[in-house]
Amino acid sequence: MHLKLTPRLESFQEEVRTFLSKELEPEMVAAVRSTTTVWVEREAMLSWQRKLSKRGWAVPHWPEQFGGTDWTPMQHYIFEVECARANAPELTAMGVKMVGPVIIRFGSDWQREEYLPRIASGDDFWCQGFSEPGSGSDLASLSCRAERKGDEYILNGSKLWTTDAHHANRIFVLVRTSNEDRPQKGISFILLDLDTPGVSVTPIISASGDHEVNQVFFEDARVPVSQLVGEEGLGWTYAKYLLGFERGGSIKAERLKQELQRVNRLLLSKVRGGNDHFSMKEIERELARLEILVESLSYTEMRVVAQLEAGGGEPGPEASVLKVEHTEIMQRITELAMTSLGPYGAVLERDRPIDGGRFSDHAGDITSDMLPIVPRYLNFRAATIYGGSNEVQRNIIAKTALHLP
Amino acid sequence: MKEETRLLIESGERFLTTSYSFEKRCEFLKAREESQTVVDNWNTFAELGWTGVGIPESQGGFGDLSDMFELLRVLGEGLILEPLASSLIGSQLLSLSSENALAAKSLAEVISGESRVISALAESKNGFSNDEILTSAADCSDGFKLNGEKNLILDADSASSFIVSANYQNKNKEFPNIALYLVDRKSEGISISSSDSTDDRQLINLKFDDVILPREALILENESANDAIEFEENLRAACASADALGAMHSLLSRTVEYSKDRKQFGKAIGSFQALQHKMADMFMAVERAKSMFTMMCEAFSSSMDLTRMVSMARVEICDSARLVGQHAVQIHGGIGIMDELAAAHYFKRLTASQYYGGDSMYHLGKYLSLRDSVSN
Repeated sequence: MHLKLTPRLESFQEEVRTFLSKELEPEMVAAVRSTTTVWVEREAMLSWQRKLSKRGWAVPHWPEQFGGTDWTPMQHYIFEVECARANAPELTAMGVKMVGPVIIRFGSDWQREEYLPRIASGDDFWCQGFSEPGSGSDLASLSCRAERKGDEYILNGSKLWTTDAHHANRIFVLVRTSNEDRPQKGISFILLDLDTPGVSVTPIISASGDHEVNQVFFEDARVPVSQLVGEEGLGWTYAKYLLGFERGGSIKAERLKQELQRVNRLLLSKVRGGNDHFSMKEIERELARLEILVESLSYTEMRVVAQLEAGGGEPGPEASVLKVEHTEIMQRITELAMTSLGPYGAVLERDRPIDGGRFSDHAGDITSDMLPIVPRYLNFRAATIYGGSNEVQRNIIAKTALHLP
Repeated sequence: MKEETRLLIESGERFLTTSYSFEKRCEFLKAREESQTVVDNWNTFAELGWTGVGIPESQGGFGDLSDMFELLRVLGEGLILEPLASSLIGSQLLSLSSENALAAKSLAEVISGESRVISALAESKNGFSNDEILTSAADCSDGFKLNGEKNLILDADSASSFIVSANYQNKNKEFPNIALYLVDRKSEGISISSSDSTDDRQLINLKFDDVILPREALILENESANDAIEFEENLRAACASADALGAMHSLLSRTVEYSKDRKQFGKAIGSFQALQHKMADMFMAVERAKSMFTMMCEAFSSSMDLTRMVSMARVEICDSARLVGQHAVQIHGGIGIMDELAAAHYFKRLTASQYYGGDSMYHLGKYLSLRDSVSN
C-alpha cells in the first residue's frame, strides 16, 4: 500500500512536485511556519490560492464542470501529501471544502453560477455560521431565526466562534425556520453577504491574544429566498454532509510530520538549555512516541484512501477516527514544542500582529521560530472542540462503528 | 488482496467457526489438565498447509510472510493454543539454512506435520535481546559439544528439535563466532523444565550439559547466523503482534456485544456514554494496530529498514493490546476477571503476548537507538 505508485501516478507526483518547486514562494512557507491559528495568514493563503487556481488545482475535489479535476482518491492523496511536505499553505476550508461541496450537491443553478467560480478563485472569502451562544455541541438546538416574509427571510439572532468573519465577505448559516417536529427538522441552510444591512461582526480575542474568531449578529437582516440552499427544513442534512468534509477527507499525517521535524530542530538548537541533562531522555521518548503515532495515522489515512480507491464510497466512522487522532496527536505535538522551549515556555509575546500574521526576528534571544509556539499551544486546545468536539466524535464512533444503543 | 491470501484467511476463519469456539477451547484446556487425550488439531493444520505458509514453494511451502502474518492474525481471534507461530518461526530459520541437509530434511518433516522445530535463542541475562550469547559450543571428536542455558522458550515443550544459538570456538580460530545449531530433543545432556504462561501455554527452560552434536547440526554460522538472529527477533515481534491484533479485534466485538446485553439501572450498559467512549477508544486502538500491522507486513516484503519499522509497529500494537485488554475487563465488570469467561482469557493473552516479542519499552528504546538523537 505504501505509495506503490503506478508509472502514471509517479508522473503525476512529479508534476505536483515540479509545480510546488516553481510556484511556492518562501514567504508562503514562512507564513505556514509562523502561523499561530488554524488557518494561515490570509494574504499568503490567497496568493497561493491564486497560483493553484491558475493551474486548475484550487478545488481539485470538485467535479470538473465546476472547475475541479477528475483525480482518483490516490491522486488527491498524493497532492495533499506533496503540498504538506513542501509546507504549502492549506486553503481555508470554509469556501472550498465546506460551502462549495454543499452548493454543488444541493444548491440551485443560480447559486452555482453566482458563487462557485468566486470560491475557486479566492475572490470570495466565506465564513461558517453554525455554533451559537446556547448551541455548541448540541448544534440542533440552535435558535437563530429566519422568518419568511414574501420573497425574503428575516434573520434574527447570533452566531459564535465564527472563524475569519472579519476577513470574510460571505457567510453560510444554519437557521431555524420552524419550531415544530424534531429540532433537526426545522433547520435551514442560508447563504448571505456580510454587508447585508442588519449584520454586524464583533471580534473575540482568544487567550493567546489572537483575533481569529468572532461573534456575528443578525438584527432584522433581510435575505432573498433565492439564497436558501435546497429545501427549507433540510439544513441539518446538508450540514451533516458538510461536517463529513470538515472532519475527514483531509490528509493530515504529513503535516504532523513537518510539525515534528520543527520540534526536532528546536530541540537540536538547544533552546531549552545546552546544560539541561536531566530532561532530554524523557523528551526524546515523547518525541519517539509521537513519531510512531503519526506513522500509524499515516497508515490509517492510506487504508482509507485504498478503500475509497477500491470504490468503498464516502468514509463513515473513519472520518471521526481521523479527526480524533489528528487533533489529539496535534495537541501533544504543540505540548512537546512548548517543552522544547524550556523556561521560554512561559513567554507569551504581546507584541505580535494581532491576527496571526508573520513574525519578524524579535529583539533579544527569542527567535521567530520560538514566537508562535506558545500561542499555538493555547489556540490548538480548540482543535478537540471545533468541527464536532472529540466527545461528539466518540459518540459517532459508538453509534456508526460499534452500533451501540 | 491476492486470491491466495484471501483463501488462506477464509480457511482460518472456517477453522475457528467449525472447530475452535471458546467452549471447544475450554474443553481442550481441560483435557490437557486432566492429561486425557488431547484433540490434535495439528494434523488439520498440516492438511490445510498452514505448517508451510511463508516458506518458498521450492522448499515445499507456499505464500509469503504477509500471508503467514494474516493467518496468525485470524487464528489470534480464537486464541489458539497450538504452537503454530513458534513452529513457523523455527521453519523460517530452517529455510535460511536449506543448504544444510539436516535442516532441509527437518523442514520437510515440519511442513508435513510430523514434527516441530522451535527456535530457542533467549537467555535469561539478555532480557528481550538475543545479542549476547553465553551458551557455548566447541569442537570435539564427534562434532560439537554444547553447554549453556536457554530461557523461557514459548511452546518448546512441543518441539522435536530446537534451534540453539551459541558462541562457537572453532579450534583453528583465535576468536569465537556465532553459530546456530539444530539440536535433537532426545540428545543426551538436555534437561528441560517448564513454567505455565499467563495465557495457558508453556514456557520452557533448556539446560545443555556437554550435549554432543553431530557435524551437520551446525546450520548457520558467522554473518548469516547473526542476520538470522536479528531476523528471528523481528519475526517473533511480528508474529506476537499479528496474534495480538486478532485477539484484540475479537475482544472488542465480544465487549460491545456484552454491553448490549448486560443491564444495570434498567438499561443496557452499552447505552452509557462513559462506557461508549471507552469502547470508541478501544476501536481507535484497534485501528492503530491494524495500520501498524499493515506497515509491518510491508516492511517484511521490502526488507528496507525492517528493524526500525517492526519496532515502531510493536510499540503501538503492545500499547493497543494493553488498552483493549484493560478496558474490556473494566466494561465487563466483575465477571471480566472470572477465569470461566472469554474476556479474562483474551485479557490474559493480550497481556502475555506483550512479552513474547519484546514489550513496548524495549521496542521504544530500540526505535530511539535507530533514530538520530537530539541530545548529543
